[in-house]
Amino acid sequence: MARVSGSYSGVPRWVMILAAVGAAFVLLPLVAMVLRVNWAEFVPLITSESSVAALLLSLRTSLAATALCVIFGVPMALVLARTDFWGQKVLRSLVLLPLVLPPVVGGIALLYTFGRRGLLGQTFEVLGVDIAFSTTAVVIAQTFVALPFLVLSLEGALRTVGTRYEVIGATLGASPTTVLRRITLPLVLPAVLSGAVLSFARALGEFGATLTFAGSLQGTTRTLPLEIYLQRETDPDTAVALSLVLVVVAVLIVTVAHRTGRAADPRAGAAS
Amino acid sequence: MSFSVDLHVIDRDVHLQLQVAPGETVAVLGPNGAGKSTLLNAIAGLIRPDSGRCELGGSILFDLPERGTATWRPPHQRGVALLAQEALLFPHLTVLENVAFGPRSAGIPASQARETAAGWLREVDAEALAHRKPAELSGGQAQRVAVARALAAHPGLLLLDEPMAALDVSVAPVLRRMLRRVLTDRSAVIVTHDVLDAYTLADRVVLVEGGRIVDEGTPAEVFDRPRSAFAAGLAGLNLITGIRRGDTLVVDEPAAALALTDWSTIVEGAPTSLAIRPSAVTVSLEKPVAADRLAVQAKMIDLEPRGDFVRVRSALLSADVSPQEAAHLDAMVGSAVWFSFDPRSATVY
Repeated sequence: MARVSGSYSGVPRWVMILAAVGAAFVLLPLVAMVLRVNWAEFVPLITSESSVAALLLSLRTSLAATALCVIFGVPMALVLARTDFWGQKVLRSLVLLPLVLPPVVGGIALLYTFGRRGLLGQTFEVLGVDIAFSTTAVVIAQTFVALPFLVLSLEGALRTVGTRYEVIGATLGASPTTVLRRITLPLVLPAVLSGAVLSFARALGEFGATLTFAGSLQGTTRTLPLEIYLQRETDPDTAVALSLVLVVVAVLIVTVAHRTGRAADPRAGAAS
Repeated sequence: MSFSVDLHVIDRDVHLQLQVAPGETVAVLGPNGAGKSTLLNAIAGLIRPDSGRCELGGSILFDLPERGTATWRPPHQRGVALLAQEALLFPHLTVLENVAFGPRSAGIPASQARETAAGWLREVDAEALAHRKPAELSGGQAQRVAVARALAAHPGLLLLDEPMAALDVSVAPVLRRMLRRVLTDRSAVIVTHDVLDAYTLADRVVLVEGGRIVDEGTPAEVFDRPRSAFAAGLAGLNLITGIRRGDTLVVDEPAAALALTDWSTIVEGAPTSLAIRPSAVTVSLEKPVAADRLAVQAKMIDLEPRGDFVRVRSALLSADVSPQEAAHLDAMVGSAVWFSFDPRSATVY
């Protein structure tokens, strides 16, 4: 992919200028934030008890949510991409709804599903489980908003790969499960990974649905974004320091996802 | 294994019946959209016909009566392997793992499956490629590996869907020879456009047109004495059909009369066919003087370049001429010229 310098690019100058303005618009706020970081106090700020609690809670819940996204999202993407049934188009738009729904609305919807007086709340109460305002609620809220990211990217990849290899696998005597395990999943592994990373990033940044459905109890439901929002009022230095931590984590995620996505691409053989 | 299929797909207007004896290779030829792919896909279990029945070696692949209980075996339980136009090797597996895929899916332990795979790679002269990834293979190498992979699955029936069509003309002969070797004593159905494939690989030829079988027989029966314009076209022959009136072959469409001397067993008034290669026909502006040449006048429709020769077409006959001759004829397209040939190089039946 090495670009030969001086080769014809075909991009007009005015497009480049607009692109530069756009890039500045994205990068400038980050720079502004970094400039406000109180470096002298940085380490104590991010290692305070509440900060560490929020950070650990965020990582734990986001990982759990990502796992749930993979467990349910991969089958959802497979069904949407590979089967054909009545009402599939409608179902797809509904499943992807959390993508465009304001997270607060998602939180309210979850509250009326899993909350004490919600649709399934009674059932859970009988089982002795109280979901709302618990760490479980955080994971549910994060899964709710993050799931469409995985489904969307994986469904696209499945459609791109097509069914030709799967058909050949079946005629060679492989059962549908074997075909899934040995052909389909390895072929779309890059998309599963990048989808999982996107979901993780979305879960890590989740705020609205979590606050509405899970509340903000330190160590139980107060994730990093919630902690940042709270500290912003009383202790802006902590808020900025924690924000920087989130930015660093996000940059790491994007880099790792990009690397693994490329390394795991089976079509990128040693020859190419 | 013996194989039989009878299938009916209503919306594609396909109704085909086919038998394959144990060890027999049947070539299915036909124009695009004739139903060849429908046939292969139904046998492999990839599409479900509206009705029909299919058996392989005594077990039922599908039984879909008009009414009553339907039986449908999924593709992976059929023992029918499919070799497509493209090799479609699994890109994330090495060549050896690709070939071992069938045995592995049958539950054979990994080490033993790899041994089997290595054996099949030897069979197709691709041993040296065992540890490469498919992206590192040429088209011909990939297709050889695909053949090994299909055979390693021990299919009761092998389906080949134009296996040479996507290959370079320089590579196809090697693969064709290899297929001829491995298809001996193996039940197979090969869909092809190429008469050469039919001659070299098939014991029997089935011609399909418009979703129906229009002709079948040995390659020689079907192509040396074609019974339809379609078969003649595939075999690359001119086919003139008419009726014997005295010593003249009278053709209705387009109207023509050919004076023949050697009628073999054909009696007066009987329908008669004459087949001749376009390369044995010459074109001239004046009527040829040689008495032993049979000449007919016909309107030249067009000139069609075909590599190192040019085909001169008329409604009755086509002739292959050199590019130099074609250059002289170019101005005459649309007017009547003389097509002539030596009757001894024609087949009359």
